[in-house]
Amino acid sequence: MTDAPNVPVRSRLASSRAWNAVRVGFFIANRQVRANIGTSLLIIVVMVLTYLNLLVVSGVMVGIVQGLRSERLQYYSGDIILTNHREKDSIQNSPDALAYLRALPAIASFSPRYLAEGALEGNYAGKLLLQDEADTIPTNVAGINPVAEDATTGLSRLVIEGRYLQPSDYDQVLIGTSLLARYKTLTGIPGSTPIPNVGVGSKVRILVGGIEHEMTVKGIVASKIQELNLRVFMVDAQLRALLGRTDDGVNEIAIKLAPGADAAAVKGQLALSAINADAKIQLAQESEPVFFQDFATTFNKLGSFLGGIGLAVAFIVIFILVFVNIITRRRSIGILQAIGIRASGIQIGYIAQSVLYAIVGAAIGMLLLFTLIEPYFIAYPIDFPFSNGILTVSFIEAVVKALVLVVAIILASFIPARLILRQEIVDAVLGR
Amino acid sequence: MLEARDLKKQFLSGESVFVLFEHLDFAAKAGEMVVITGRSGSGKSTLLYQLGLLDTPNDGVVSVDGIPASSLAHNARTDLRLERFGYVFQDYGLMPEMTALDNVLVPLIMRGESYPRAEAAARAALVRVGLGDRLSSKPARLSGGQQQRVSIARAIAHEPPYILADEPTANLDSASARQVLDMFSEIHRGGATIIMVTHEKESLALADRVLELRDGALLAVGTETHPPAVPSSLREGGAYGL
Ligand SMILES: Nc1ncnc2c1ncn2[C@@H]1O[C@H](COP(=O)(O)OP(=O)(O)OP(=O)(O)O)[C@@H](O)[C@H]1O
Ligand SMILES: [Mg+2]
Repeated sequence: MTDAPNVPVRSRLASSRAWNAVRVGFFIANRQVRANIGTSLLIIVVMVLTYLNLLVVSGVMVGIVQGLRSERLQYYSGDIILTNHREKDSIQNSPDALAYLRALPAIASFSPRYLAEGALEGNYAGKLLLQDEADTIPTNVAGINPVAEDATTGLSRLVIEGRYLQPSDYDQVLIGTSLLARYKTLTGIPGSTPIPNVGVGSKVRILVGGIEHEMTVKGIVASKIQELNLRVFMVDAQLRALLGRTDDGVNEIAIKLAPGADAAAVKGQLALSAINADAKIQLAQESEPVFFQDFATTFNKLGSFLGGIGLAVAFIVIFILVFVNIITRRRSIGILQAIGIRASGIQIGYIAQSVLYAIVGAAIGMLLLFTLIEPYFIAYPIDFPFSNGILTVSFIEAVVKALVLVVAIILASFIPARLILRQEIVDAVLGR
Repeated sequence: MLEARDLKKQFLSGESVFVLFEHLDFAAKAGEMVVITGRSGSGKSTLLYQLGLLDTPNDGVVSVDGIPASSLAHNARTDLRLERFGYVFQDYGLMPEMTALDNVLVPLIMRGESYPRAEAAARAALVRVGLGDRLSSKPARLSGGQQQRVSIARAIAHEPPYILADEPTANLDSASARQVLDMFSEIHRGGATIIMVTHEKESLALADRVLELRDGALLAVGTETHPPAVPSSLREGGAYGL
């Protein structure tokens, strides 16, 4: 009998020990998940909800902005919009510009518009006395080519009552909802009152270029875009006649690109042409008014803020789940240590379990998001007064947040396992 | 050789310090079966935990085959427990979510056995303790005696040189206790060093040496009442040859 064999029995390399700890870790994780299917499913459900919470709330915030932007692009500005320089009455050499646009294959259609500031007057027939002022409201009058406008923006789809304009429609107008009390929603012009008792078929007076002209309301235009709700639309030739314009200068041209065309590239091309000197060339987003961009920034910030809260909530939920999961197994952890399982192996076991929950949860969440929730929001947008709220989540963002979930759960698993592993083994085994 | 020198263990009870034992020496030679008895609360379990490197003494050194445990880092200490010790706890100490087979399997995997070899060894150990037909039962579905036998199978499957058992029969009826004790004497005959804490008269008879822990000191009780079948000089480590 040799009493002091200093060489450990069946000594193995330290690296293979570390590897064995990994093997044991996965063995433990496997057995614990299989033995607690109910609990595992519950944790996965919580993971799915946590993951969706991380994406959906901030996704809706971002979606509101996107909904607003796409509505403006669709119905107002097109992909690119040309406007007259501020110091000029109209886009110079408009016929040349239009001819140039017509020749570009990347452009699907465009709509030239004449614009004039004016006023809308209603309910004047009954007011006989001089001191009875008629109801008036300031407005922007747009003269459009109904066919080109509809091809470019689909304006006819915004007509909620009455009918869209035909090229031959003289003395007929479309009126935006913000100008009429009957249709007015939340928004309006500060300090002005929408005109009451005017609807489709009513006679109204348009004051433009110092002339008053009586016309009939043919249709009502309703949009999430305030710029459209404040307009009166008539056929371009009539507006030019009312204004006494002899030149061909239009005020803005909304351009719709052919599918697949790159807006920035087309803009660059236009900037190199003669149009650059005659008009301001802007992409849809560049043409947004300042308040619009402030609104977008605010909602995006709100989205990030709510996303941050979602993240904090996710971390806390995960921490509690994992903490409870590990603390209730304190004795098991003590036993494993006692019989010679390295702390790293035990920790790997719990981390592997948690990571499995996080990955399965995120995968299910992603599936629900892209096959169910996002299509649902697109089919049934939330009807905000200023936007059609859709859910906007990019695939990259979904993957990044899934990784966030996994990292959070690894951190959350690390701490309680550490706490237990630092205890005296006998205390954990005996539950002291 | 499992050795303890000048061991001290104390606990804090409120403001005062309560010394359980101090200047305590212990040594078990290879192949020896030592039984430790003593009144409840005398510190038997506590002593066994120190010897098994499950707890750290306030003073003194435990050395395993010449390696002082206090010199070891956390992982090395864990590895030493894996390589040299088998533990049988009074309340079995099984993992509730694992089957009997898996419970025995875990330390074998940690030792680096391939999965099939580990499973074969675990199966063999369970067959040896008479549980060949309960391999896939979880602890909750086994009787106390059966659970204790799983615990024994786990302790012996990797054939460690030292087996520590804390009242392995305390929760068992006399028939089961008899079975478990027979198992220990068989393991002992195979050459393992066994240190067992117990009250049972029968187990005293199996021991090479009986010690009583009283007032913080270990006292020898009687002599070898039941001489082993094989002279201790022939019993060296390695496989038990059961
Ligand atoms: N962690 C601890 N903190 C405080 N006191 C402790 C602790 N562990 C053990 N003790 C005390 O040490 C003494 C010895 O405990 P131990 O469990 O070693 O006794 P024992 O001889 O095994 O008794 P039994 O036969 O009942 O199992 C007891 O008085 C116990 O209260
Ligand atoms: Mg005890």
